Amino acid sequence: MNKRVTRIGWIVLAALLCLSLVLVPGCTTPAEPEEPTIEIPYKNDGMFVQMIIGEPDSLDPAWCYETAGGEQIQYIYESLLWYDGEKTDEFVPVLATEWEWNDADLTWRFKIRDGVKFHEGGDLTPEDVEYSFERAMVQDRSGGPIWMLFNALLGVSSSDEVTFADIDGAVEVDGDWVVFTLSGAYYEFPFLQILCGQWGSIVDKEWCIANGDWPGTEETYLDYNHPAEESDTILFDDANGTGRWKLNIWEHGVQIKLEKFDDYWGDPAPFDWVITQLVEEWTTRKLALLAGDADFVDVPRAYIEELLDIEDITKYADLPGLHVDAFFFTFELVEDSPYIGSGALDGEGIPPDFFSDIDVRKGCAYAFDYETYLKDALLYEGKFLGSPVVEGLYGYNPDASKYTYDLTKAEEHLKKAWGGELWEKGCKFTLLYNAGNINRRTASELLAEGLHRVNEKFQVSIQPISWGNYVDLLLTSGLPIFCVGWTADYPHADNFVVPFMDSGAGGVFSYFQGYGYPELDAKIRAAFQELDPEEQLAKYYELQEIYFQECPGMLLVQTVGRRFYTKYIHGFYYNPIIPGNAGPLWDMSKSES
Amino acid sequence: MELRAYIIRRLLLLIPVLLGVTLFIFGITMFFSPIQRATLYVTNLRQLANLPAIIEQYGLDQPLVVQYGTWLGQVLRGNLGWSNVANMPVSEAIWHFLPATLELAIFATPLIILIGIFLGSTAAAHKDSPVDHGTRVVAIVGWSLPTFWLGLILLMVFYGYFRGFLPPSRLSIQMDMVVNSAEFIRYTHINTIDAILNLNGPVFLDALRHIILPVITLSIVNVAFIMRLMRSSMLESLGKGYILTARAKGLAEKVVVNKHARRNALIPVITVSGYLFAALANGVVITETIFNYKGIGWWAWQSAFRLDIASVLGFALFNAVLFVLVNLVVDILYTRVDPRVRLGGSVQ
Repeated sequence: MNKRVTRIGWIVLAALLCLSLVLVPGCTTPAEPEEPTIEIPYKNDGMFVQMIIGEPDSLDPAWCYETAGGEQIQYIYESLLWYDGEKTDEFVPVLATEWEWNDADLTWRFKIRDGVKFHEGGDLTPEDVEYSFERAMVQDRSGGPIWMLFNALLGVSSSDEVTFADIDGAVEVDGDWVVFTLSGAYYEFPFLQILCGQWGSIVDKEWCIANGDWPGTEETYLDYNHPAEESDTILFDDANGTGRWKLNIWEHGVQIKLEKFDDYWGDPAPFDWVITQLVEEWTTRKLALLAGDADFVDVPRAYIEELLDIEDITKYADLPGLHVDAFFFTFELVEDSPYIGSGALDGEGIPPDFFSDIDVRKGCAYAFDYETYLKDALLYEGKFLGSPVVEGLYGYNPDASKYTYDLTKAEEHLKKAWGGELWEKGCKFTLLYNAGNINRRTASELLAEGLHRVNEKFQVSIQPISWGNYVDLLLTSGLPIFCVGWTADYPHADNFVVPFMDSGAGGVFSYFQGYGYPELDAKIRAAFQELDPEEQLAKYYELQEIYFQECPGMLLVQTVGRRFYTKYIHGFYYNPIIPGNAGPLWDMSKSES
Repeated sequence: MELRAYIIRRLLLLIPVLLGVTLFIFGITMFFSPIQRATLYVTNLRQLANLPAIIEQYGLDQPLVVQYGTWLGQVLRGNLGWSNVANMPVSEAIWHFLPATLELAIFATPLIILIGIFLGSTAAAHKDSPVDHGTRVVAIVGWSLPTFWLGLILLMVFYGYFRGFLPPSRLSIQMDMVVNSAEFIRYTHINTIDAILNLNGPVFLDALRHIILPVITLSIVNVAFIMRLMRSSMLESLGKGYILTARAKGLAEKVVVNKHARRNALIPVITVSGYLFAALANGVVITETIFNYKGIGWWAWQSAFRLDIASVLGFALFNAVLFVLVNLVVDILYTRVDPRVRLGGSVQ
């Protein structure tokens, strides 16, 4: 009995102790929090260390079509020319010292720089340039970036539409010059932008061939055409460029280390090492930044405030990205889609062609609370858009018409929709978003709420699904409205107008929506092919107005980003087309002062 | 039963186990449509139009039997497929990520076992005393702590507050350069062991410094299990007749507990310890992610999350082999610890 009492006593004592640890702090008035006085130590002199959350798929310039790989490629390799600082429409020489346009034969001629070394010791020659582009077009992996070269040089989308002779003839060597023959005069300016992408990187022909890449002959080109896997190309995780840094090691899933190239032809690299580490956990990245073990880390929007008051961190904000998220209406849904209720306009569902009615679309566009979305989902990191052409792109119209949150106008359109039947009977459908994407969840909730406010008979439910499932439904026209984003390949209006408005396979979104028509396609071609700059702008402005008037989709916002570096990193400037987040490292530096 | 025959028999049983596990996983993946599985290969939206070609290329729309047969045929030729998550063949990915996890398991397992045995036997020897209650409360609290929370707290204190005293990752940047240099030979890719084999003190100390926090996290969370088991086993052992005899003969209590009771109480702990090591070697996703200690758990999680089926199957194979081998070792050890037990499960 005594032992039992003792035991019970100890248990009660332990419980009281735990309770007091919880209750006592809760009952007292918390003291005013002290201002954080974090001093970040200076470490890793001569190194730039960044911690990010995405790893490259491949380091092959002809394969890579994502930003993590693009960033590394642009440190390792170089193109013929590059953007001038923050500009996206002016260029400076890199591996080409000068270039000339010939109107008569639609050619760009580039004089190749002398005295440039590759990392493995070879010398840059015009033949390397020719090989780099021919190699890329021969490889032309499925879903890769080389369609841009095919469009510009041969007026087609892939190697399947041309012969080897066409590829061979598109790029030629003429002494110290390399000559590109374009498919149309309208490509004169965009082609220079295309050349600045990672797919325009110059590789060492001899080294590639010696290591098993395409020998450069017609007899063998089919063996290297459409490789199935990233690892089928020799430049997948091996590299030999002319850039300021050379690849030291790529530990998959862990890190990529780039080492300064001592024989670089130009100004020496400002960092001896560029180390990119893959670190998924935010707290780990943040602590590394504050400990000085990282100079730059990926900062998710939700955690910005944790770094705002730290003096030793340099912040760059309001950086408009060439990216937009939007809602896209599916004009003709599959009849057995489980997300359209009864499948009829009877108040218990929607018909498959529900969104083909322009008043439905406009009603939705006016029922969305854009301000709340910008505040809640993006913490004000965004700009409203009236058209798919985002700020920073050639062709952007700052005065483009925009939809605003206006329930009166929403009601006006929805009352007209479907001859008034929609307003009377109501509707029911499901909005889906890819699970884990908080922004798209918020957007879906706002749209559902807005429609319900306009008319209580409009019942829209929200449901998360996996990305794979989402894509499956998108491809099979099972999603009433889908929400996805788009990032620029090169900074030109055409790169946004086509995916949003073209009815062909190039119209990534419009194709899956069932939007677009021949007359519109013709206007898109005409805008791109217009040679007079003022006329061209006018045509793009017209296309943007058409998008507003026809409302095939609801543009949410153009996101703006931010960068956080330790105070020891200097020289950052923002160019929205540079892939990755760390920025133009070749123009940046690190010092204790 | 002769030892060699026993081992061969157990290893042969591995084959139906592997077939069963992989068939089961394959069956589950069939619930995902070919398009869903093909999205693994999509890195940008322009590739959506190519999904039918991707499906055809990888045979994702073939019947289960065909897909499984194709995969099995490749496995028998030594090809486990390509890991999109790791960007390397699956077989390479396993060996690439395993050393980090093994290193954690090698350090954490003995610590968990030793602390668990100590706490359990102490608690049992002082049954119903404050020592007993105290150790049980501490162990249960540790068991209840969410791993991610504990790991983050430890990181914030020992890396954040104490300015990098115990950092995450496997090595510092400087030691990582040493380890990846031509002068340093990677025998096992387990940094502590390789450092010893290379007679490199700084690398060893650096690796040790980086492994402390993840090992502590794993220990705190897992020690309760061993502690509770040891306590129960000790109490049972202390209640046996031979203990009474030992005490009656006038042996010191310490000798009674340590020499007689504890030894017999260790038997179930040995069994569990084997599974503990296997479970840790299997990968501890949360710990590996928080401390940026990229091991096989992190790889398996990423593969499952992204529907990288080849990687998931490869991991399942590895897992099955690991558990069968651990089981085998434990069974053999059992017979060494308890002479009454014979291979094949009989007790004399």
